Amino acid sequence: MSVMNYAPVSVFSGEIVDGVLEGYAAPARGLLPCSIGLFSGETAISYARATSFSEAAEASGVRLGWCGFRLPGLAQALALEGAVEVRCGVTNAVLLKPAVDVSKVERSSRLVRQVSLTEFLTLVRSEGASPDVARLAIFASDHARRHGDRSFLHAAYQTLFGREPDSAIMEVWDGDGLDIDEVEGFLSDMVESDEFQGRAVQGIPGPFQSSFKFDRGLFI
Amino acid sequence: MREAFLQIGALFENTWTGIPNVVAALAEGALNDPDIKWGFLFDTLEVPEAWVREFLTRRSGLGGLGKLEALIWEKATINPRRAAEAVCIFPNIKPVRGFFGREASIIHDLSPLLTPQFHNQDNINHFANRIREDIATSDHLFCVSNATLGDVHSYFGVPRDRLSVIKLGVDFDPVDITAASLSFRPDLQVEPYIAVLGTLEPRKNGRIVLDYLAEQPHFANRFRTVFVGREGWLDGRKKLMDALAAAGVARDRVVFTGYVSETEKVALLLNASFCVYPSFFEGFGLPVLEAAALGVVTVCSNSSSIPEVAPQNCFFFNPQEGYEFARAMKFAELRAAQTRAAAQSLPDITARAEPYSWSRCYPAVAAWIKEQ
Repeated sequence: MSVMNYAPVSVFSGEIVDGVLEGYAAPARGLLPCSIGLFSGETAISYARATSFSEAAEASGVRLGWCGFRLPGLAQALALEGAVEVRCGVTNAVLLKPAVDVSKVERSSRLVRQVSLTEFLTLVRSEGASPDVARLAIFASDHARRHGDRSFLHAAYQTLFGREPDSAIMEVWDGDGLDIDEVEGFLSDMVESDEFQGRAVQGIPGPFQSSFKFDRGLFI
Repeated sequence: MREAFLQIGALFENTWTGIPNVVAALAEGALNDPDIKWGFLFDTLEVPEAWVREFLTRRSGLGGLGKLEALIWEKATINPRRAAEAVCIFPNIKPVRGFFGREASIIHDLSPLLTPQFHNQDNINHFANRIREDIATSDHLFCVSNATLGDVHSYFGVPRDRLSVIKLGVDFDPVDITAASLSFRPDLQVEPYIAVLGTLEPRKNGRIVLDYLAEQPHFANRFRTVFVGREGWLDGRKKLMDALAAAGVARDRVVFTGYVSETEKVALLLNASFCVYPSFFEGFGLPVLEAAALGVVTVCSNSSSIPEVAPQNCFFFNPQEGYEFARAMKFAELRAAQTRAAAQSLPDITARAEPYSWSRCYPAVAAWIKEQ
Protein backbone atom coordinates (compact mmCIF):
# COMPACT_ATOMS: atom_id res chain seq x y z
CA MET A 1 0.00 0.00 0.00
CA SER A 2 1.28 3.44 -0.86
CA VAL A 3 1.49 5.21 2.50
CA MET A 4 1.61 8.47 0.53
CA ASN A 5 -2.16 8.29 0.25
CA TYR A 6 -2.88 7.87 3.95
CA ALA A 7 -2.12 9.57 7.25
CA PRO A 8 -1.39 7.98 10.65
CA VAL A 9 -4.40 7.46 12.88
CA SER A 10 -4.67 10.04 15.64
CA VAL A 11 -8.28 9.62 16.80
CA PHE A 12 -9.82 6.15 16.86
CA SER A 13 -13.08 4.64 17.96
CA GLY A 14 -14.14 1.14 17.07
CA GLU A 15 -16.47 -1.59 18.21
CA ILE A 16 -18.11 -4.73 16.92
CA VAL A 17 -21.63 -4.00 15.70
CA ASP A 18 -23.68 -6.93 14.47
CA GLY A 19 -20.52 -8.96 14.12
CA VAL A 20 -18.61 -6.37 12.08
CA LEU A 21 -15.96 -3.87 13.20
CA GLU A 22 -17.25 -0.35 12.77
CA GLY A 23 -16.14 3.07 13.95
CA TYR A 24 -14.08 6.03 12.90
CA ALA A 25 -10.40 6.85 12.50
CA ALA A 26 -9.04 10.32 11.82
CA PRO A 27 -5.63 11.92 11.32
CA ALA A 28 -4.35 14.77 13.47
CA ARG A 29 -4.79 17.18 10.56
CA GLY A 30 -4.61 17.48 6.81
CA LEU A 31 -6.36 16.19 3.73
CA LEU A 32 -5.17 12.60 3.82
CA PRO A 33 -7.55 10.02 5.26
CA CYS A 34 -6.56 7.07 7.44
CA SER A 35 -6.58 3.41 6.55
CA ILE A 36 -6.82 0.59 9.04
CA GLY A 37 -6.12 -3.12 8.78
CA LEU A 38 -7.48 -6.24 10.43
CA PHE A 39 -4.80 -8.74 11.35
CA SER A 40 -4.76 -12.28 12.63
CA GLY A 41 -1.28 -12.64 14.07
CA GLU A 42 0.93 -11.17 11.33
CA THR A 43 -1.49 -12.01 8.51
CA ALA A 44 -3.37 -9.06 7.04
CA ILE A 45 -6.96 -10.13 6.53
CA SER A 46 -8.59 -6.94 5.27
CA TYR A 47 -8.16 -3.17 5.03
CA ALA A 48 -10.62 -0.29 5.08
CA ARG A 49 -10.34 3.38 4.20
CA ALA A 50 -11.80 5.57 6.94
CA THR A 51 -13.63 7.85 4.54
CA SER A 52 -17.31 7.03 5.03
CA PHE A 53 -19.72 9.37 6.72
CA SER A 54 -20.10 8.53 10.42
CA GLU A 55 -22.82 10.14 12.48
CA ALA A 56 -20.86 9.20 15.62
CA ALA A 57 -17.79 11.04 14.35
CA GLU A 58 -19.89 14.04 13.38
CA ALA A 59 -21.48 14.09 16.84
CA SER A 60 -17.98 13.99 18.36
CA GLY A 61 -16.88 16.89 16.19
CA VAL A 62 -14.30 14.80 14.34
CA ARG A 63 -13.57 15.65 10.69
CA LEU A 64 -17.15 16.71 9.87
CA GLY A 65 -18.02 13.02 10.27
CA TRP A 66 -16.02 11.94 7.20
CA CYS A 67 -13.79 9.33 8.81
CA GLY A 68 -16.07 6.34 9.32
CA PHE A 69 -15.08 2.79 8.46
CA ARG A 70 -16.54 -0.68 8.26
CA LEU A 71 -13.85 -3.36 8.42
CA PRO A 72 -14.95 -6.83 7.27
CA GLY A 73 -13.17 -10.12 7.82
CA LEU A 74 -13.60 -11.00 11.50
CA ALA A 75 -14.78 -14.50 10.62
CA GLN A 76 -11.67 -15.07 8.47
CA ALA A 77 -9.41 -13.60 11.18
CA LEU A 78 -10.83 -15.92 13.81
CA ALA A 79 -10.48 -18.89 11.51
CA LEU A 80 -6.70 -18.39 11.47
CA GLU A 81 -6.60 -18.51 15.26
CA GLY A 82 -4.06 -15.72 15.62
CA ALA A 83 -4.45 -12.73 17.94
CA VAL A 84 -7.01 -10.46 16.28
CA GLU A 85 -5.85 -6.83 16.08
CA VAL A 86 -6.87 -3.64 14.34
CA ARG A 87 -3.81 -1.68 13.18
CA CYS A 88 -3.06 1.69 11.64
CA GLY A 89 -2.43 1.26 7.89
CA VAL A 90 0.55 3.65 7.98
CA THR A 91 2.39 3.03 11.26
CA ASN A 92 1.16 -0.51 11.94
CA ALA A 93 0.43 0.60 15.52
CA VAL A 94 -2.16 -1.56 17.26
CA LEU A 95 -5.36 0.45 17.73
CA LEU A 96 -7.64 -2.21 19.14
CA LYS A 97 -7.52 -5.79 20.30
CA PRO A 98 -11.19 -6.62 20.12
CA ALA A 99 -12.56 -9.15 22.56
CA VAL A 100 -14.42 -11.22 20.03
CA ASP A 101 -17.47 -13.22 20.96
CA VAL A 102 -17.34 -15.86 18.26
CA SER A 103 -21.07 -16.43 18.43
CA LYS A 104 -21.71 -12.81 17.46
CA VAL A 105 -19.39 -12.61 14.49
CA GLU A 106 -21.19 -11.98 11.23
CA ARG A 107 -22.40 -15.23 9.77
CA SER A 108 -23.05 -15.64 6.12
CA SER A 109 -26.65 -16.13 5.26
CA ARG A 110 -27.57 -19.63 4.16
CA LEU A 111 -29.25 -18.04 1.20
CA VAL A 112 -26.85 -16.64 -1.34
CA ARG A 113 -28.36 -13.74 -3.24
CA GLN A 114 -27.36 -13.23 -6.85
CA VAL A 115 -27.02 -9.57 -7.74
CA SER A 116 -26.64 -7.89 -11.08
CA LEU A 117 -23.35 -6.30 -11.96
CA THR A 118 -24.74 -2.79 -11.59
CA GLU A 119 -26.18 -3.60 -8.15
CA PHE A 120 -22.76 -4.89 -7.12
CA LEU A 121 -20.99 -1.78 -8.42
CA THR A 122 -23.51 0.41 -6.61
CA LEU A 123 -22.68 -1.50 -3.41
CA VAL A 124 -18.96 -0.99 -3.97
CA ARG A 125 -19.48 2.71 -4.68
CA SER A 126 -21.62 3.21 -1.58
CA GLU A 127 -18.49 2.96 0.62
CA GLY A 128 -17.52 6.58 1.10
CA ALA A 129 -20.52 8.02 -0.76
CA SER A 130 -22.42 11.05 0.51
CA PRO A 131 -25.53 10.02 2.43
CA ASP A 132 -27.47 12.98 1.01
CA VAL A 133 -27.18 16.16 -1.03
CA ALA A 134 -26.94 18.33 2.09
CA ARG A 135 -23.59 16.77 3.06
CA LEU A 136 -22.29 17.38 -0.47
CA ALA A 137 -23.56 20.97 -0.41
CA ILE A 138 -21.32 21.81 2.56
CA PHE A 139 -18.23 21.24 0.40
CA ALA A 140 -19.81 22.65 -2.76
CA SER A 141 -20.75 25.90 -1.01
CA ASP A 142 -17.25 26.23 0.43
CA HIS A 143 -15.84 25.58 -3.07
CA ALA A 144 -18.00 28.37 -4.55
CA ARG A 145 -16.81 30.76 -1.83
CA ARG A 146 -13.13 29.92 -2.39
CA HIS A 147 -13.03 29.59 -6.18
CA GLY A 148 -16.04 31.41 -7.56
CA ASP A 149 -19.27 30.38 -9.20
CA ARG A 150 -17.86 29.21 -12.54
CA SER A 151 -15.42 26.86 -10.86
CA PHE A 152 -18.31 25.60 -8.73
CA LEU A 153 -20.31 24.83 -11.87
CA HIS A 154 -17.44 22.88 -13.43
CA ALA A 155 -16.88 20.89 -10.23
CA ALA A 156 -20.60 20.17 -9.83
CA TYR A 157 -20.90 18.80 -13.37
CA GLN A 158 -17.71 16.76 -13.07
CA THR A 159 -18.76 15.35 -9.71
CA LEU A 160 -22.35 14.43 -10.50
CA PHE A 161 -22.38 13.95 -14.28
CA GLY A 162 -18.73 13.08 -14.93
CA ARG A 163 -18.52 15.68 -17.71
CA GLU A 164 -18.05 19.36 -18.38
CA PRO A 165 -21.11 21.67 -18.37
CA ASP A 166 -22.78 22.38 -21.71
CA SER A 167 -21.68 25.61 -23.35
CA ALA A 168 -25.32 26.79 -23.27
CA ILE A 169 -25.44 26.75 -19.47
CA MET A 170 -22.04 28.42 -19.26
CA GLU A 171 -23.35 31.35 -21.31
CA VAL A 172 -26.39 31.99 -19.12
CA TRP A 173 -24.89 30.93 -15.80
CA ASP A 174 -25.01 33.59 -13.14
CA GLY A 175 -24.28 32.04 -9.77
CA ASP A 176 -22.61 34.96 -8.06
CA GLY A 177 -22.99 34.89 -4.30
CA LEU A 178 -24.77 31.55 -4.06
CA ASP A 179 -25.71 30.78 -0.48
CA ILE A 180 -25.67 27.22 0.81
CA ASP A 181 -29.42 26.74 0.33
CA GLU A 182 -29.13 27.78 -3.31
CA VAL A 183 -26.16 25.47 -3.77
CA GLU A 184 -28.09 22.60 -2.21
CA GLY A 185 -31.09 23.36 -4.42
CA PHE A 186 -28.92 23.40 -7.54
CA LEU A 187 -27.25 20.10 -6.62
CA SER A 188 -30.64 18.54 -5.77
CA ASP A 189 -31.93 19.44 -9.23
CA MET A 190 -28.87 17.76 -10.75
CA VAL A 191 -29.31 14.62 -8.64
CA GLU A 192 -33.01 14.40 -9.56
CA SER A 193 -32.30 14.91 -13.27
CA ASP A 194 -32.77 12.13 -15.81
CA GLU A 195 -29.06 12.26 -16.56
CA PHE A 196 -28.03 11.45 -12.99
CA GLN A 197 -30.85 9.00 -12.34
CA GLY A 198 -30.12 7.26 -15.64
CA ARG A 199 -26.54 6.39 -14.72
CA ALA A 200 -26.00 2.65 -14.46
CA VAL A 201 -24.19 2.92 -11.12
CA GLN A 202 -25.82 5.15 -8.54
CA GLY A 203 -24.39 7.11 -5.59
CA ILE A 204 -23.61 10.71 -4.66
CA PRO A 205 -19.80 11.03 -4.45
CA GLY A 206 -18.21 11.58 -1.07
CA PRO A 207 -15.15 13.79 -0.51
CA PHE A 208 -12.61 10.96 -0.79
CA GLN A 209 -14.00 9.35 -3.92
CA SER A 210 -12.18 10.03 -7.17
CA SER A 211 -15.22 11.55 -8.87
CA PHE A 212 -15.55 14.21 -6.13
CA LYS A 213 -14.15 17.43 -7.63
CA PHE A 214 -14.98 20.06 -4.99
CA ASP A 215 -12.34 21.65 -2.82
CA ARG A 216 -11.69 19.72 0.38
CA GLY A 217 -10.07 22.57 2.24
CA LEU A 218 -12.59 22.16 5.05
CA PHE A 219 -10.43 19.27 6.27
CA ILE A 220 -7.38 21.47 6.76
CA MET B 1 23.97 15.54 -5.82
CA ARG B 2 22.64 15.44 -9.37
CA GLU B 3 19.68 17.72 -10.09
CA ALA B 4 16.98 16.22 -12.26
CA PHE B 5 13.60 17.35 -13.50
CA LEU B 6 10.54 15.34 -14.39
CA GLN B 7 7.99 16.74 -16.82
CA ILE B 8 4.62 16.21 -15.16
CA GLY B 9 2.21 17.82 -17.63
CA ALA B 10 0.26 14.54 -17.89
CA LEU B 11 -0.60 14.71 -14.18
CA PHE B 12 -2.79 17.76 -14.88
CA GLU B 13 -5.36 15.54 -16.62
CA ASN B 14 -8.66 15.11 -14.78
CA THR B 15 -8.74 11.36 -15.03
CA TRP B 16 -5.62 9.26 -15.18
CA THR B 17 -5.05 6.35 -17.50
CA GLY B 18 -2.00 5.32 -19.54
CA ILE B 19 0.71 8.00 -19.60
CA PRO B 20 -0.44 9.86 -16.42
CA ASN B 21 -0.10 6.57 -14.53
CA VAL B 22 3.48 6.17 -15.77
CA VAL B 23 4.30 9.75 -14.74
CA ALA B 24 2.66 9.15 -11.36
CA ALA B 25 4.82 6.07 -10.75
CA LEU B 26 7.97 8.04 -11.61
CA ALA B 27 6.90 11.02 -9.49
CA GLU B 28 6.22 8.77 -6.50
CA GLY B 29 9.65 7.17 -6.93
CA ALA B 30 11.24 10.62 -7.22
CA LEU B 31 9.58 11.90 -4.06
CA ASN B 32 11.00 8.95 -2.14
CA ASP B 33 14.54 9.10 -3.56
CA PRO B 34 16.99 10.98 -1.34
CA ASP B 35 19.89 10.47 -3.76
CA ILE B 36 18.63 12.72 -6.58
CA LYS B 37 17.59 16.33 -6.21
CA TRP B 38 14.29 16.21 -8.09
CA GLY B 39 12.21 19.08 -9.40
CA PHE B 40 8.91 18.90 -11.26
CA LEU B 41 8.16 20.85 -14.41
CA PHE B 42 5.29 21.90 -16.60
CA ASP B 43 7.30 22.77 -19.71
CA THR B 44 9.92 25.10 -18.17
CA LEU B 45 7.88 26.22 -15.17
CA GLU B 46 8.76 24.60 -11.87
CA VAL B 47 5.71 23.17 -10.10
CA PRO B 48 5.62 23.06 -6.28
CA GLU B 49 6.24 19.60 -4.83
CA ALA B 50 3.09 19.99 -2.72
CA TRP B 51 1.01 20.08 -5.90
CA VAL B 52 2.53 16.82 -7.05
CA ARG B 53 1.75 15.20 -3.70
CA GLU B 54 -1.83 16.50 -3.88
CA PHE B 55 -2.29 15.17 -7.44
CA LEU B 56 -0.91 11.78 -6.41
CA THR B 57 -3.24 11.64 -3.44
CA ARG B 58 -6.31 12.52 -5.47
CA ARG B 59 -5.18 10.55 -8.55
CA SER B 60 -6.33 13.55 -10.54
CA GLY B 61 -4.99 16.91 -11.71
CA LEU B 62 -8.37 18.62 -11.81
CA GLY B 63 -8.02 22.31 -10.95
CA GLY B 64 -4.28 22.24 -11.56
CA LEU B 65 -4.37 24.18 -14.82
CA GLY B 66 -6.22 27.05 -13.12
CA LYS B 67 -3.56 27.18 -10.42
CA LEU B 68 -0.89 27.01 -13.11
CA GLU B 69 -2.21 30.21 -14.69
CA ALA B 70 -1.62 31.98 -11.39
CA LEU B 71 1.83 30.38 -11.00
CA ILE B 72 2.93 31.76 -14.37
CA TRP B 73 2.54 35.28 -12.95
CA GLU B 74 4.28 34.43 -9.69
CA LYS B 75 7.33 32.50 -10.92
CA ALA B 76 9.80 32.78 -13.75
CA THR B 77 10.69 29.79 -15.88
CA ILE B 78 13.80 27.99 -14.72
CA ASN B 79 17.13 29.62 -15.42
CA PRO B 80 18.75 28.21 -18.63
CA ARG B 81 22.14 27.97 -16.90
CA ARG B 82 20.59 25.84 -14.16
CA ALA B 83 18.82 23.72 -16.79
CA ALA B 84 22.06 23.20 -18.68
CA GLU B 85 23.54 21.55 -15.59
CA ALA B 86 20.51 19.32 -15.00
CA VAL B 87 18.98 16.15 -16.38
CA CYS B 88 15.37 16.09 -17.58
CA ILE B 89 13.01 13.16 -18.13
CA PHE B 90 10.26 13.68 -20.72
CA PRO B 91 7.50 11.09 -20.29
CA ASN B 92 5.75 12.17 -23.48
CA ILE B 93 6.17 14.56 -26.42
CA LYS B 94 8.91 17.10 -25.53
CA PRO B 95 7.77 20.70 -24.99
CA VAL B 96 11.40 21.91 -25.27
CA ARG B 97 14.45 20.33 -26.87
CA GLY B 98 18.10 20.72 -26.01
CA PHE B 99 17.28 22.99 -23.08
CA PHE B 100 18.70 20.66 -20.43
CA GLY B 101 22.21 19.29 -20.14
CA ARG B 102 21.06 15.71 -20.60
CA GLU B 103 17.64 14.65 -21.81
CA ALA B 104 15.81 11.32 -21.87
CA SER B 105 12.39 10.55 -23.31
CA ILE B 106 9.93 7.77 -22.73
CA ILE B 107 8.53 6.28 -25.92
CA HIS B 108 5.18 4.60 -25.38
CA ASP B 109 4.46 3.55 -28.95
CA LEU B 110 4.67 4.67 -32.55
CA SER B 111 1.01 3.91 -33.11
CA PRO B 112 0.10 7.12 -34.99
CA LEU B 113 2.83 6.28 -37.53
CA LEU B 114 2.45 2.50 -37.68
CA THR B 115 -1.34 2.26 -37.53
CA PRO B 116 -2.52 5.67 -38.80
CA GLN B 117 -5.91 4.25 -39.72
CA PHE B 118 -6.83 4.38 -36.03
CA HIS B 119 -5.91 8.01 -35.47
CA ASN B 120 -7.32 11.28 -36.69
CA GLN B 121 -5.18 13.41 -38.98
CA ASP B 122 -4.46 16.08 -36.35
CA ASN B 123 -3.05 13.47 -34.00
CA ILE B 124 -0.93 11.90 -36.75
CA ASN B 125 0.41 15.30 -37.84
CA HIS B 126 1.20 16.36 -34.28
CA PHE B 127 3.00 13.11 -33.54
CA ALA B 128 4.80 12.90 -36.88
CA ASN B 129 5.99 16.49 -36.65
CA ARG B 130 7.45 15.98 -33.20
CA ILE B 131 8.72 12.46 -32.75
CA ARG B 132 11.72 12.50 -35.08
CA GLU B 133 13.30 15.57 -33.46
CA ASP B 134 12.32 14.35 -30.00
CA ILE B 135 14.23 11.15 -30.66
CA ALA B 136 17.17 12.95 -32.23
CA THR B 137 17.58 15.36 -29.30
CA SER B 138 17.32 12.74 -26.56
CA ASP B 139 20.46 11.25 -25.10
CA HIS B 140 18.52 8.17 -24.08
CA LEU B 141 15.14 6.63 -24.88
CA PHE B 142 13.20 4.52 -22.42
CA CYS B 143 10.71 2.26 -24.22
CA VAL B 144 7.76 0.68 -22.42
CA SER B 145 8.14 -2.70 -24.14
CA ASN B 146 10.52 -4.70 -26.27
CA ALA B 147 8.10 -4.26 -29.17
CA THR B 148 8.31 -0.47 -28.91
CA LEU B 149 12.10 -0.65 -28.55
CA GLY B 150 12.26 -2.73 -31.72
CA ASP B 151 10.07 -0.24 -33.59
CA VAL B 152 12.20 2.74 -32.54
CA HIS B 153 15.36 0.89 -33.50
CA SER B 154 13.95 -0.24 -36.87
CA TYR B 155 12.13 2.87 -38.02
CA PHE B 156 14.43 5.59 -36.65
CA GLY B 157 17.75 3.75 -36.69
CA VAL B 158 18.48 4.52 -33.06
CA PRO B 159 21.44 2.40 -31.85
CA ARG B 160 20.53 -0.09 -29.16
CA ASP B 161 22.93 1.44 -26.62
CA ARG B 162 20.69 4.52 -26.54
CA LEU B 163 17.61 2.38 -25.88
CA SER B 164 16.36 0.47 -22.89
CA VAL B 165 13.07 -0.93 -21.62
CA ILE B 166 11.40 0.34 -18.46
CA LYS B 167 8.95 -1.94 -16.79
CA LEU B 168 5.43 -0.71 -16.25
CA GLY B 169 3.54 -2.05 -13.30
CA VAL B 170 0.42 -2.37 -11.22
CA ASP B 171 -0.21 -1.51 -7.60
CA PHE B 172 -3.40 -2.44 -5.83
CA ASP B 173 -4.42 -0.76 -2.62
CA PRO B 174 -5.42 -3.54 -0.17
CA VAL B 175 -8.41 -1.35 0.69
CA ASP B 176 -9.65 -1.69 -2.90
CA ILE B 177 -9.06 -5.45 -2.90
CA THR B 178 -11.03 -5.78 0.33
CA ALA B 179 -13.89 -3.71 -1.07
CA ALA B 180 -13.88 -5.71 -4.31
CA SER B 181 -13.58 -9.21 -2.87
CA LEU B 182 -16.69 -11.33 -2.61
CA SER B 183 -15.01 -13.35 0.12
CA PHE B 184 -16.07 -10.51 2.45
CA ARG B 185 -19.63 -10.60 1.07
CA PRO B 186 -20.37 -14.32 1.39
CA ASP B 187 -24.10 -13.85 0.96
CA LEU B 188 -23.64 -12.26 -2.46
CA GLN B 189 -23.02 -13.79 -5.84
CA VAL B 190 -22.49 -11.52 -8.83
CA GLU B 191 -24.01 -12.58 -12.14
CA PRO B 192 -21.49 -14.04 -14.62
CA TYR B 193 -19.89 -11.40 -16.83
CA ILE B 194 -16.85 -10.75 -18.95
CA ALA B 195 -14.92 -7.46 -18.80
CA VAL B 196 -13.73 -5.86 -22.04
CA LEU B 197 -10.88 -3.54 -21.15
CA GLY B 198 -9.89 -0.15 -22.48
CA THR B 199 -11.22 3.11 -23.86
CA LEU B 200 -13.83 2.68 -26.57
CA GLU B 201 -12.11 3.63 -29.79
CA PRO B 202 -11.48 1.83 -33.09
CA ARG B 203 -7.90 0.85 -32.21
CA LYS B 204 -9.21 -1.09 -29.23
CA ASN B 205 -11.25 -3.32 -31.58
CA GLY B 206 -14.36 -3.56 -29.37
CA ARG B 207 -16.28 -4.30 -32.53
CA ILE B 208 -14.96 -7.88 -32.68
CA VAL B 209 -16.65 -8.53 -29.33
CA LEU B 210 -20.00 -7.14 -30.46
CA ASP B 211 -19.77 -9.11 -33.74
CA TYR B 212 -19.08 -12.25 -31.70
CA LEU B 213 -22.13 -11.63 -29.52
CA ALA B 214 -24.30 -11.14 -32.59
CA GLU B 215 -23.10 -14.49 -33.94
CA GLN B 216 -23.25 -16.24 -30.56
CA PRO B 217 -26.33 -14.89 -28.76
CA HIS B 218 -26.29 -17.85 -26.36
CA PHE B 219 -22.94 -16.56 -25.02
CA ALA B 220 -24.58 -13.19 -24.32
CA ASN B 221 -27.28 -15.04 -22.39
CA ARG B 222 -24.69 -16.78 -20.20
CA PHE B 223 -22.44 -13.76 -19.63
CA ARG B 224 -23.20 -10.07 -19.46
CA THR B 225 -20.57 -8.15 -21.43
CA VAL B 226 -19.12 -5.10 -19.71
CA PHE B 227 -17.03 -2.52 -21.57
CA VAL B 228 -14.84 -0.95 -18.89
CA GLY B 229 -13.39 2.46 -19.65
CA ARG B 230 -13.94 5.90 -20.99
CA GLU B 231 -16.28 6.38 -23.92
CA GLY B 232 -14.11 7.14 -26.93
CA TRP B 233 -15.25 7.06 -30.49
CA LEU B 234 -16.24 3.47 -31.26
CA ASP B 235 -17.61 3.97 -34.77
CA GLY B 236 -21.16 2.92 -35.30
CA ARG B 237 -21.86 1.80 -31.75
CA LYS B 238 -25.59 2.36 -32.19
CA LYS B 239 -25.57 0.38 -35.45
CA LEU B 240 -23.75 -2.48 -33.73
CA MET B 241 -26.16 -2.43 -30.82
CA ASP B 242 -29.08 -2.53 -33.28
CA ALA B 243 -27.47 -5.51 -34.99
CA LEU B 244 -27.14 -7.21 -31.61
CA ALA B 245 -30.81 -6.62 -30.86
CA ALA B 246 -31.75 -8.02 -34.29
CA ALA B 247 -29.69 -11.14 -33.49
CA GLY B 248 -31.71 -11.68 -30.32
CA VAL B 249 -29.35 -10.16 -27.76
CA ALA B 250 -31.17 -7.87 -25.33
CA ARG B 251 -29.58 -4.44 -25.10
CA ASP B 252 -29.12 -4.72 -21.35
CA ARG B 253 -26.77 -7.71 -21.84
CA VAL B 254 -24.09 -5.19 -22.83
CA VAL B 255 -23.04 -2.53 -20.32
CA PHE B 256 -20.78 0.49 -20.92
CA THR B 257 -19.41 1.70 -17.59
CA GLY B 258 -17.65 4.89 -18.69
CA TYR B 259 -14.74 5.96 -16.49
CA VAL B 260 -14.57 3.98 -13.25
CA SER B 261 -12.69 4.63 -10.02
CA GLU B 262 -9.75 2.45 -9.01
CA THR B 263 -11.93 0.60 -6.48
CA GLU B 264 -14.59 -0.08 -9.08
CA LYS B 265 -12.01 -1.18 -11.65
CA VAL B 266 -10.53 -3.70 -9.21
CA ALA B 267 -14.04 -4.96 -8.40
CA LEU B 268 -14.84 -5.38 -12.10
CA LEU B 269 -11.59 -7.21 -12.90
CA LEU B 270 -11.47 -9.38 -9.79
CA ASN B 271 -14.98 -10.78 -10.19
CA ALA B 272 -15.07 -11.15 -13.96
CA SER B 273 -15.29 -14.67 -15.36
CA PHE B 274 -12.50 -13.55 -17.65
CA CYS B 275 -11.30 -10.42 -19.43
CA VAL B 276 -11.01 -9.50 -23.08
CA TYR B 277 -8.44 -7.14 -24.61
CA PRO B 278 -8.86 -7.25 -28.39
CA SER B 279 -6.75 -4.19 -29.29
CA PHE B 280 -5.07 -3.97 -32.70
CA PHE B 281 -1.98 -2.18 -31.37
CA GLU B 282 -0.54 -1.29 -27.96
CA GLY B 283 2.72 0.12 -26.69
CA PHE B 284 2.36 -2.10 -23.64
CA GLY B 285 -1.12 -3.33 -22.61
CA LEU B 286 -1.38 -2.47 -18.93
CA PRO B 287 -4.93 -3.86 -18.44
CA VAL B 288 -3.62 -7.33 -19.32
CA LEU B 289 -1.04 -7.02 -16.54
CA GLU B 290 -3.69 -5.80 -14.07
CA ALA B 291 -5.92 -8.79 -14.83
CA ALA B 292 -3.01 -11.23 -14.55
CA ALA B 293 -1.94 -9.78 -11.19
CA LEU B 294 -5.48 -10.38 -9.94
CA GLY B 295 -5.37 -13.96 -11.24
CA VAL B 296 -7.87 -13.40 -14.04
CA VAL B 297 -7.42 -14.88 -17.51
CA THR B 298 -7.50 -12.53 -20.51
CA VAL B 299 -8.40 -13.21 -24.11
CA CYS B 300 -6.13 -10.84 -25.96
CA SER B 301 -4.80 -10.11 -29.40
CA ASN B 302 -1.38 -11.34 -30.47
CA SER B 303 -0.24 -8.04 -31.96
CA SER B 304 2.48 -5.50 -31.07
CA SER B 305 3.60 -5.65 -27.41
CA ILE B 306 0.61 -7.50 -25.97
CA PRO B 307 2.14 -11.02 -26.03
CA GLU B 308 5.01 -9.75 -23.82
CA VAL B 309 2.83 -8.67 -20.91
CA ALA B 310 1.58 -11.81 -19.16
CA PRO B 311 1.56 -14.68 -21.67
CA GLN B 312 0.97 -17.31 -19.01
CA ASN B 313 -2.44 -15.80 -18.26
CA CYS B 314 -3.66 -15.18 -21.79
CA PHE B 315 -5.39 -16.81 -24.71
CA PHE B 316 -4.20 -15.13 -27.88
CA PHE B 317 -5.90 -14.51 -31.21
CA ASN B 318 -5.28 -12.57 -34.40
CA PRO B 319 -7.32 -9.35 -33.98
CA GLN B 320 -8.33 -9.50 -37.65
CA GLU B 321 -9.78 -13.02 -37.33
CA GLY B 322 -13.23 -13.55 -35.87
CA TYR B 323 -12.77 -17.31 -36.00
CA GLU B 324 -9.60 -17.18 -33.87
CA PHE B 325 -11.35 -14.85 -31.44
CA ALA B 326 -14.26 -17.29 -31.05
CA ARG B 327 -11.84 -20.14 -30.36
CA ALA B 328 -9.92 -18.13 -27.73
CA MET B 329 -13.22 -17.19 -26.05
CA LYS B 330 -14.14 -20.88 -25.78
CA PHE B 331 -10.77 -21.79 -24.24
CA ALA B 332 -11.03 -18.92 -21.75
CA GLU B 333 -14.53 -19.90 -20.73
CA LEU B 334 -13.40 -23.46 -20.05
CA ARG B 335 -10.30 -22.40 -18.11
CA ALA B 336 -12.26 -19.83 -16.10
CA ALA B 337 -14.76 -22.50 -15.09
CA GLN B 338 -11.92 -24.71 -13.88
CA THR B 339 -9.78 -22.19 -12.04
CA ARG B 340 -11.98 -19.42 -10.62
CA ALA B 341 -12.12 -18.77 -6.89
CA ALA B 342 -8.64 -20.14 -6.27
CA ALA B 343 -6.22 -18.03 -4.22
CA GLN B 344 -8.34 -14.88 -3.95
CA SER B 345 -7.62 -13.90 -0.33
CA LEU B 346 -5.91 -10.57 0.37
CA PRO B 347 -2.49 -12.18 1.10
CA ASP B 348 -2.81 -14.31 -2.06
CA ILE B 349 -3.58 -11.36 -4.30
CA THR B 350 -0.96 -9.13 -2.68
CA ALA B 351 1.71 -11.80 -3.13
CA ARG B 352 0.70 -12.41 -6.75
CA ALA B 353 0.75 -8.70 -7.62
CA GLU B 354 4.03 -7.90 -5.85
CA PRO B 355 6.37 -8.90 -8.71
CA TYR B 356 4.47 -6.54 -11.02
CA SER B 357 4.66 -3.50 -8.73
CA TRP B 358 5.14 0.00 -10.14
CA SER B 359 8.23 0.17 -7.95
CA ARG B 360 10.08 -1.69 -10.72
CA CYS B 361 9.57 1.29 -13.08
CA TYR B 362 11.55 4.04 -11.34
CA PRO B 363 14.95 2.36 -10.66
CA ALA B 364 15.99 2.19 -14.34
CA VAL B 365 15.37 5.93 -14.73
CA ALA B 366 17.19 6.76 -11.48
CA ALA B 367 20.14 4.56 -12.48
CA TRP B 368 20.49 6.34 -15.83
CA ILE B 369 20.40 9.76 -14.14
CA LYS B 370 23.13 8.74 -11.73
CA GLU B 371 25.34 7.67 -14.66
CA GLN B 372 25.18 11.14 -16.24
